[in-house]
Formats: sequence, structure tokens, C-alpha cells
Amino acid sequence: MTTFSAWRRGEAQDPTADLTIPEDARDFQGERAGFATRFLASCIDIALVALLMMGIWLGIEILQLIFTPGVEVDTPRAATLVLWGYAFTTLYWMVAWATTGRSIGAWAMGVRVVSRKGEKLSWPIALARAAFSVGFPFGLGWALISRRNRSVQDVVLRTIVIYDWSLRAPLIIGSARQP
Amino acid sequence: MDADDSRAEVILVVRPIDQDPAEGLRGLLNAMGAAMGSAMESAAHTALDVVSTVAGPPTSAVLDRVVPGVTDAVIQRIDITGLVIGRVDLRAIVMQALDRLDLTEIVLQRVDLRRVVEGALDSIDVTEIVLQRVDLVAVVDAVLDQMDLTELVEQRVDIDALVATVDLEPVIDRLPIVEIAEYVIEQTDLPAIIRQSTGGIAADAIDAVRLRSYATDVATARIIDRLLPRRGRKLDAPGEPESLTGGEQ
Repeated sequence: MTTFSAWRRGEAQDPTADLTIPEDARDFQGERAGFATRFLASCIDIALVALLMMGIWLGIEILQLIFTPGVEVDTPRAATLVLWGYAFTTLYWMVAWATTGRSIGAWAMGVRVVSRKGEKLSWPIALARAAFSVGFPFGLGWALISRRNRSVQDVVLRTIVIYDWSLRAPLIIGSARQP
Repeated sequence: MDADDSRAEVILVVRPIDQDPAEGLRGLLNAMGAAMGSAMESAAHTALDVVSTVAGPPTSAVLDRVVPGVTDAVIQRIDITGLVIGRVDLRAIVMQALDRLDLTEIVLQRVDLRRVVEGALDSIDVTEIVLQRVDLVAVVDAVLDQMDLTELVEQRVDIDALVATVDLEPVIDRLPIVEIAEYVIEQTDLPAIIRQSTGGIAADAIDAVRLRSYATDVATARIIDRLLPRRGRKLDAPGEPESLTGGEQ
């Protein structure tokens, strides 16, 4: 056990260690996240959006059933739902990346999207990245090959996805970088 | 009184000289001179006694008159002190006297040591003398070297009572309380304890999934890197904790 004086001198002490993070995970915090983690985060988000869309669809059905009983309900076309899903996913990711830097899926997998300076994304960049990710999801596959774990979206928009298990908000990240 | 009664009797009495105590060497010499004079007088009386015994009472009567006068005249003409100093081995006499005397015993029996010491202490300032003549630091050092102060304090001092009188607030004011709290938190891994107690199964499951996912990332990257002609990956990024805390960019 480190004595208090040794600890105070900085011995056996990592001043950057976030004590809220399990010790096993502290070493790789801030590193560029790999493909598997990001893929799972995206899957979680997409699943959530899909559930939401299903919920919306079910809600519409129930409402129609309640207020117009005996009336044949037209089932929404799958393409419509997918389009709405794309739109909602884009909106959701934009808001998530421009505010906290992470969506629910990203929070669950412990990753965060930041700019090349390590700050939160601006709204236009967040929108562009969200749309790009929704429109070309296969761009994530480049993270498998990229030496810096960058997806196509990261290469084009100069964004970075890092492991970040901490509860710090991007605002704090940005302010912490101010001199 | 018959004819025989007409003879006079001379009685020689040797008396100690009634004189004030001598002071110093002069006093000693005076005393010795007096002793010599007394000895000579005693010798004269002895000679007179012998003569009176041998020559009979008439002669003795004559000598009774003559000898004291002669002796006084001789004594007055002799510098007995000078004679003693020049002719007598005073050192030998004194040494022999000291050898024969038990001075310690004499002093113990005849001297009121208490009065002597009290008189001496009254006449001198012992504190001043000690301060001027004694190397107190050396004395204290020597004493401390011979003592086990820790043991002494443990045995003789009521430490609890002493500590009870201490005002701890100034001490606490000087303590880096926040640093101590941070130290305790870090050493006991308090966040882990809080996570375990409040997060429960869900938090553990999330941590496990995250760790598993990270391991998959590493393994996947390793496989890809083996297939491609390159050495590992550069995964450092801005926004990592070092850069967040204002450290190395």
C-alpha cells in the first residue's frame, strides 16, 4: 500500500485516472475505439430506433382501432417505416453527437464521438456524420482496416471515436481543454 | 625546716606554646621556631635538671638563675625562622607528619563540615560559577546518551493526559484534508465499492460487455494487422485523458 507521503509526492499515483472507471479499463480510455465496439453501439442504436418505430406503428394502429372501430386499417409500408427510421436515426445521432458525443448505444458500449481536437462535434458536422452513417453504414467497415480505427465517415469528416467510460460531458471536455 | 630542707627544688614543666593558630607558611615557620625555642628551653631545663642532680642543690640553684637568662639571650640573638628555613628539610617533616596522620579522620572528627560547606556556599554564587565554568551542553549530552528518553517518557509521562490538553484545531487546519480524503478514496478504491453497492448486476453486466467488446476489438485488429504488412495500430487520440487534463498533447 502506498503511504500518504509517497502518494502525495506522486508515486504510484496516476493523476489522470478516473476513479469511476474500473481499474481494468483505465489503461485504454481515450484510445480510438475498434470496429466491434462501434458496430455493437450502432446495432444498439438501430435496434432502439427500430423498436421506437415499431412502437409508433403500433401506437398508430391502436389509436385507429380505438377511435375508428370496424374500419380496415392500412398497414404502413415497410419502405415508409424504413425511411422514417432513417430520418429518425439521423436526427437522433445528430443530437446525440452534438450534445453529449454519444448515443445510448455509444454510452452502453463506452465510446464517444469527438472532433479531431477532442472536442464535441459542431451541429453541422454532427448532422453530416449522422446522415453519412445512416446513408452509408458500410463505411464503418473501414475501421477494420484503418491503422487508426477510422471509418469512412471519420476520414471524410475528421472525427474520432474513442473509448470513454467516464461520465464526463463533452462540455467538460471542451472546457477542460481551455487554457 | 632542716639543713636538707634548704635546698631548692626546680620543677620543669613542658607546656605547649599558647599561641594563635599559624597562618600559611609563615605561620608554620613561626610555629616551628616557637617549637624549636621551646625545645631548646626544654633542653636547657633538662640540662639544668641533670646538673642539679649531679652537682647538688647549690649548683642547681645557680643554674636556675643563669640558664633562663642565657637561654633568652641566645633565643633573642638567633633568627630561628631563618635557621629553620635554611637548615631544616621542611618537606620531609611535613611529609612524615602527613604520613603519620589520618587527615581525613581528623577533619571528619574535628571540623564542622556542614558549617564549612554552608559558609562556602554563602560566600560564592554557585549558579554563576556553573554557568561560567561548566560545559552544560556536554553534560546534558552525556546524560542523554546514558538515558533512554523514550522509555523514560513511556514510564513517567501520562501521554493521554498530555494529549488531552492539546488544541487539535490548529493541527487539523494545517492538514491537507482534501488530499487525505482523495488518498483514502484512491487506496480503498471507494468508487469501486460504490459501483458494486449501487450499480448492481446491470452495471457489472455493462462493464463486462464493454470489456469483452474491447477485447474483441484488440483481437480483430491483431488478426487484420497480421494479414496486412504493417506493425500494429496507432490508437492515441486527442481527447484522451492526458490531453483532457492539460497534460501532453
